[in-house]
Amino acid sequence: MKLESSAFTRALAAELRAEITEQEHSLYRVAQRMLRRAKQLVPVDEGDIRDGLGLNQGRLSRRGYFVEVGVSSKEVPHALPVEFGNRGNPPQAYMRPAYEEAANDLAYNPTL
Amino acid sequence: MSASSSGALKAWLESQGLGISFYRDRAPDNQALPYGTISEGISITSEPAFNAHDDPEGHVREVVQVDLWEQWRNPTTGAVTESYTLADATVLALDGKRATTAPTWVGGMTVVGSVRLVEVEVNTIHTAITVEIRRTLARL
Repeated sequence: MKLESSAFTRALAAELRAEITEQEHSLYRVAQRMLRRAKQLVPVDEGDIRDGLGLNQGRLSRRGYFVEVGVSSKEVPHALPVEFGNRGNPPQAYMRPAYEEAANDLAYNPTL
Repeated sequence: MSASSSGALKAWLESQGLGISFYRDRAPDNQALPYGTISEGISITSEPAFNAHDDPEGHVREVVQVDLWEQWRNPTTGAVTESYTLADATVLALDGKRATTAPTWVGGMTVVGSVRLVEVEVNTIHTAITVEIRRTLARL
């Protein structure tokens, strides 16, 4: 008896690709929500931190698919002291609350 | 029994032999370095491990920031005065522990990150430690 496995393997690979694509889209949508939330939360003086917040297109690495959300501390040097505070100024966190809410979004509804 | 998360953390950290005092939100004016501050309620989110519609105790994840403030260099000699062990010892005192005097049930604390920031203008090393506390909500 000869088993034809190549068709099954191809179908399985196609299913897996579709599933991975769906997961990537879910992660990207959550990242977009996180970015919106961070922009809502960030204290606005001149608005440069808010305007500097962004996300990159998702990338695939050895550790998996990831999307980066944040602000460049080289371009906006006071982004970090606002998030973590400094001597005389308490933290006004905007990234960590946004991240926590995004993590909950994913946990409650992994197929957003 | 402490009245707040930061009160419980203060009591816990000051019992760990770190050799510094901790204050809620900010230290008194003219407090000499080194010292620590605790900012509670950076964020509070519901705990996804529990059913959102059937969790009468209200399990939540609270993000708290523990800050260490140290002098960077001796202003006269220029020698480094920062403790190289204080930040690690503080993380060790927090990670995986339970604040036993907390006002509510605490499942555990996890250190999710630590950032070392050099504030050159004020000759200060600021270490910001982010801690996640899994606890229940307080009752009136």
